[in-house]
Order: sequence, then structure tokens, then C-alpha cells
Amino acid sequence: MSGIVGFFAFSDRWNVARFTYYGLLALQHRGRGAVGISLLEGRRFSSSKKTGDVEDLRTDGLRGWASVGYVGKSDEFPLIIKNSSIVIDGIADRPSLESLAEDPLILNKRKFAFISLNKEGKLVVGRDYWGLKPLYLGAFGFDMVVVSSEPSAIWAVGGELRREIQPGEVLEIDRWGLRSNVLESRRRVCSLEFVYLSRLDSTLSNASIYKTRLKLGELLAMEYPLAADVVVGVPETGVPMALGYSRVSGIPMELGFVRTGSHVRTMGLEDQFMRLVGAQLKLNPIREAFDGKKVILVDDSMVTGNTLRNTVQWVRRSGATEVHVLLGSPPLIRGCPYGMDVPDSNKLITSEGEHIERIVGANSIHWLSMKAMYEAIGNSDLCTFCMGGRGGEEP
Amino acid sequence: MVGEGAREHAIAEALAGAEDRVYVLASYRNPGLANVAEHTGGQLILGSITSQSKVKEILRGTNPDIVVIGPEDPLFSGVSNTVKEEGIPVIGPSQRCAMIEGSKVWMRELMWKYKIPGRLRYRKFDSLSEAASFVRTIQGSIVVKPAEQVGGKGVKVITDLQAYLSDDKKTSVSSSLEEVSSVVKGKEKILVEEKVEGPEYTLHALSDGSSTIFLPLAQDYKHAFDYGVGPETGGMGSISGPNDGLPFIDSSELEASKEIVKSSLRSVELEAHERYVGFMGGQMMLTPIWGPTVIEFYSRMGDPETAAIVPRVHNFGDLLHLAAFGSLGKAKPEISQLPTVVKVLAPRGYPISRAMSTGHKIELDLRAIQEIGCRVYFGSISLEGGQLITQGSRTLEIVAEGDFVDASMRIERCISMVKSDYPLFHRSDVGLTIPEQERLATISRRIYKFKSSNGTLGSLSEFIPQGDNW
Repeated sequence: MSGIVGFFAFSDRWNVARFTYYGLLALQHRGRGAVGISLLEGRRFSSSKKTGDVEDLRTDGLRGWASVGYVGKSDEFPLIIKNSSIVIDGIADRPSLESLAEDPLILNKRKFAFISLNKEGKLVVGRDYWGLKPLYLGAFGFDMVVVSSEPSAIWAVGGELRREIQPGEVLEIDRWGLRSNVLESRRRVCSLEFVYLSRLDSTLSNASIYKTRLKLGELLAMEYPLAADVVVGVPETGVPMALGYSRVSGIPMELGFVRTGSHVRTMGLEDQFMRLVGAQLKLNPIREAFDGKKVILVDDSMVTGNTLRNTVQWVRRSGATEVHVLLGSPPLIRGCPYGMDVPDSNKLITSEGEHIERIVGANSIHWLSMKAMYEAIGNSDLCTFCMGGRGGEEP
Repeated sequence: MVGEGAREHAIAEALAGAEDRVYVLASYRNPGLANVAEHTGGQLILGSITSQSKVKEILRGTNPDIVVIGPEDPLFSGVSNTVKEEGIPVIGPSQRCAMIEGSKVWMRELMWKYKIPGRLRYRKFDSLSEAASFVRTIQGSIVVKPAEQVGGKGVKVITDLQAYLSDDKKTSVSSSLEEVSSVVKGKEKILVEEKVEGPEYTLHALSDGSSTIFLPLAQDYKHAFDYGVGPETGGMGSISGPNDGLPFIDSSELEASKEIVKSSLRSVELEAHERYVGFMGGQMMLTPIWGPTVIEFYSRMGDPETAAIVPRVHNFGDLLHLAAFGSLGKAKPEISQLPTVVKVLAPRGYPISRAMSTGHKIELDLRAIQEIGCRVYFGSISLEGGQLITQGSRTLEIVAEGDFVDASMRIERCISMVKSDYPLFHRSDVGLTIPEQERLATISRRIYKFKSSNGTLGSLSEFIPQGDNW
């Protein structure tokens, strides 16, 4: 999982180094571990890469009027192949990256969104065949084009969102124009983008992420009208779902957790220990929200269940008399072939079968039905492969 | 007719519709204007459109009843004064009245002196270094412009709600001041204004020196490329209508805009001590700070707004005659209910490299385009030895009447009938952006109505850390 961004100024006078940095900062929720940028000045790239957070990246001394930037797990981006500096969101093998550097308009079922800047000063931007990975076009006044995995990076630099780039679409941008090529595509937007990955202020495939998550919570309340004293969302993604649950059920919503430090996405961290540290730093329970109460705890999804196990324990130690876990999406039962961090089936908690609530330590656990998730997103062109549903290949 | 572009072509056709014989002074052989001249028994005469002696020579040779001046440059150089001295009624303000467009500083000073609503805070600079230091220290979003009208170029918009990028944005702009001011001739070089947001629209008035009438609203598309990205241009398309408005401007906003343009026009007359005869275009924006707000004034009609407006005003030619003879008081524009959409074709290279976009051959099937129900106005293109050769700016303006989406689609079909071995580009989204404009207008409307209700119209609402140093 990663966030990618590209800047293209219509005059050499601009230095887009800091713009790229702040753009990446606004995409950090999409994946962490490594960060890198490439800038074009004259016919030369200057690049900077770093393992760590965007904040660790130094931009002093870097200069260029066009750029690409990457934040995510892989430390190889931006990758310079031939005359191009390339960043991607998704999965790509070396041959497909080479063919991209050769000819970005070649028809193939790319499993990644990309931004590629070449030394001649052309920015090529493409969304994957299925539109699994989001990608947006924006403008900064008359001076720049901005492309980004999510609108957040466009807004972070003071730009204006123009539109979503379509599945299979490849945009070629140079000083003389912007050309849209719509290659063959089949729309299958990633349902996990709606459920947890995209930022709450994004709109994807005409659906507001915020409204979708509220609706997921509302539908949870319709499917599981539990008796409880409070409903609490696990930050960040669980909060709007808890709000939706509360509105429909009439059960008051409480804010149950305080976050320490910057936003750490535990789902993206490989190392077990770091995941726990991340989770603990992320959340500290507010005792008064839970003490002596029957609690409904709402989260977006459950992968290994480790983070949720601890969260449930903290809620119990804060004095909860019952803890019922509700998840705003169907169970994850198999790994993602398109680069989302959903591990193979045997690492998923759903492989434990009947005993999940015992492992998690909850009085009960319920998942939103597939049908309700479709209804909440309001879009039938979804990829639900990891939930046992339709992937990119199925009609 | 003085002038040679698509705007003049549209106006000349309207004059032909009023059964005029049309003579044209143009610096190249615009095939559209040549055609109008030929069909009406007039003539296209090649020559400099800013040369007083050339103008006098043609006036004496053709003895016209009225003269219409299309573009701003002849106005700035006093062609209107010359025509008047020859005793011929002229549509186009005098050199002094045209200051409203020629000097952006004069325009802002006028608006503040006469307390006209919709005026923005500004600072003027003779010295580039003073301008640069102001740009670096001013808090908030700004627009940096050359102090004079230089063909709609050189405007820098700096959105600065992000303090962390402030230095980068302002360093870039202050380093480009030299370029912005290089074409400015007068003492005052740079104008810095507060930046405002909202949907833009153009309101044209036609004045005969005592009465004023208004043409239907239009909106032009400034960004070079599709979806509103890319460098600033003179305009890559426009829309007008339905009726006398636009879908995202309500009737009270239209009336307020008319008041602004009318009082500005009368203020120009007071300052210049001359009657204003001709067009005045208010390039307006519906902003949260004021509601209708003036971005700039034209002392002529906007291009490509003209191509959207003229076909919708059935008695346009007659109106010009009435204005020239001071009889607009009785006149009323006959405005078509249906909207129009205009798309502009330009050669690759425009607007950054004139060298790239000049000298390319194009071909088009005019009859087939007319069969689809579209009009073509020829812009920066010359008929040379039987061939159509691009002159470096916007080449063609294609107009369709009808609902926005339908008209926009029909123009796409026409554009496919324009052939060239050199790439031409256009914006496919002209006429398709109404919902977005309505959304922007709604936001502006909510805020300016609130400001109006609590008496803070025209003042800034944002907190400025180091004080308001305008």
C-alpha cells in the first residue's frame, strides 16, 4: 500500500520540492516505511530516498520544476528506468515496469497506478486496469498540475481538485497540453479503500468516504441491534461507523480512546512487535467511557485480530461489563493479489473458525454482510476478493 | 470594422445581418472577415490596426457611417479619437476612457474613489524590488499582475492558506516579477491584489454616452487544458445563457453586477471628462467577500465571450447603429432563450510558444459544420495563397446553440472535421462544468449573504497573524 504524487509546473521558475514533500505528508495514511522523491531540473533527476517517515526526508538543496513522490512500504521508489523516474501504488514486477518506461500506452492489465516523469519533461499518469487504486488530477492556479493517490495531497499544497482519473486511463502531460488516453478497463474499485484506507475527506467513484463509513455503521445497527449502554469506535476508521450505529440504534456514542503520536497504520507494519507498539501508542482508553457499561466496539475490519485483542482487553480493564465487537465489513478470508496488505488465509483470524470471539476476548463478534457493504458504498463495481467475493478477473 | 480576430468576425456578421456593407481594417487576411466583406460589397484592407494614418486613409477612402473597434490595442493607441476627429460615429471608447482597461491601477483607484461595491484591496509598485518585498511579507492569498493590460498574460495567482509553503510560493512569484513587468511601459509596473474565489462571469454593457444596455452574461474558460488545468490563456471557450443570465448567477446578483458596471462606466466618464461610447465588459467573480466582485474591466467585448453572446442577440447589428448615434435609450436587446457554447481550437504550443504555434496549415469543411448547426468564427488564422495558415494564437471558435451538454457534444463533431498535419487542441469540457460552478456559487452566496446581514461585506474574515498590511 502506498501513496504517490506528481507535480508539473508550466515554468522552470517553480521549485516543487517542498510541494512534493507536503503532498506526501498528506498521503502518509496510505502506507509507511519508506519515502522518496525525484525532481527534474534541466535534463537531470535529483532524488532523495529514506526509510522512515515523510518527516525524515530532507528537501534542502533539492530543486526541480517537476517531480514524482512515493510513500509506502517499498524502499525502491522512485525507480529510475531508462529516461523515466517512476512511482507506483500496487504491485508490479520488473518487466511490467520496464514496459511502462518503454511505452506507457501499451495495453496490459496493470495491477498498479503509476506516475512517471521522463527527462524530456513529460509526466505520464495512469490508473490500473480495474481502478483498484485511486488517482486524482488537480491544479495549482495557472502554474501547476498536481496528480495524487488522494485529493488530500492536492489540498495540502493549496491546489484545487479537478477530477478522478478513470480506471485504465493514461494522462500524458507536457508543457503543450494534457492528453487523456482511455485504455481498456474494467471498473473494480477496492472495497477496502472505502472501508479503511482512503482518507475521510476523499470521494471515490462518486461516493463520499465519510458518508460511506457512516452508512456502514447505520447498516451494522440494522443487522445487529444489540442491547448496550454505549457504542465506541476504534480510531480512526471505526469512529464514523460508531456514529452511524448510534444514530440508528439510539445508543449514545462515546469517544473511548486518545491517540498518542502520529498516525500509525498497524495493518501496514510487518513486524509483530512494532505492530503492538504502534497499536499501543495509537490508542489509550478513556476509563470513564467504559466503566460499568455494556460496550459495543466498532472497527473497520479484522486481519490477524492481534490489535483488536489488545483493544478489547484495554476496554475490559477500563471497567466494561460486556464487550461486543462489530466490524463494518465482511470477514477477510484470503490474501489480496493486488497489493493491499491482506495476508494469506492462514494468517487471517478468520481461519480460526468458530473460536474467534474467544481469541479476541469479546462477548460477541459480528461482521457486516456483503450485501450491506455493497449498499453502503452504493456501487456494484467493487473488488471483494479478500472477502471471498468477486476479484478483478471474474465478470 | 477595426480588428482581425474571431470577435470581429462575429460582430461583422451581425453588421452584415443589419444589411451593412462592411469594410475591415486587419493586419492579416482573416478568411471569415474577408468573406463578410466580400459578400456585403465591402472590402478587407490590410494594415496596422493601431496606425492613425492608416485609419484616416481608409476612412477617407470608404466614408463609413459608423466605425466599430473590436480589440483593445487600437483603443489604447487612440484610434477611437482619430475616427471621432474625422466626424464619424464610433463604437469604442476614447484613449482616456479606455484607461479602465489599459491601466489596472487606474481602474482600482477609480473603484475606491467612487466607493463602487466589489472592489478589492490592492497595492501598486513602481519598483520591482519593493513589489518583491511586499509579496514576500504580505499574509494570505494574493494575485500579482502587470499594472497594464498586456493581452491577459502574466497573472500569477498565489493561494497561501498553507503557511508552510508560503516561502516557496512567494519566492517563485517574486522571482518572476521581472517577466510579469517586462511588457509594462508606464511608471507603475506591478499590481498586487487580494485573491478571491468563486465562479467567474462576464457582463458587457453597451453605452451610447448617456444610455446603457446590457448584453447577456457569459463565462469564459481561462485554463489552457481540459478539466481546468494548465497555463492562463485569453480563453479556450465560453458559454452564455439561458436568457440574459447564467445558471449559477441569480437575478439579484445579475442586477447588482449591472449596477457595478454602470456606476463604473459613469465614473470613468467623470474622471476622463468624456462620454463613454462603446462596450465595457466587467470580468466579474461571485466572491464570498462581496458577492459580485470586479476582477478586471474590458474597454471592448471579451473574446471568446463575443462568439457566445453575439449569436444570441438577434438585433446586435441594429444596437451598434443606435449606440453610435446616441439612440440606445429606446433600444432593447432581443435575446435568445437558448444558451450557446463556444470551443476554441489552438495549435500546439499556444499559449507558451508563439513560434511553435505559428505557420501551420489547416483545412475545414465549413459546409458540413454548418449542416450540424454550428457556426465558425475565424480567429488567428490567415488566408494566404488559398491556404489557411495559423498565426500563433487561438485559431477557430466554433459555436453551437442549444442545451449546454448537447451543444458541447455537437461542437466535438465539428472539431473532428477540422484537419491539420500539425496538432491542434481544444477543451472538451466547455459547457460541461455547470454543476461545479453552481456548487462554487452556492458557497460564495451563503458567505456573502451572511456578511451582508452583519455589515461586514467587503472585509476579510480570515485571521491574519501579522495584521492586515494592505
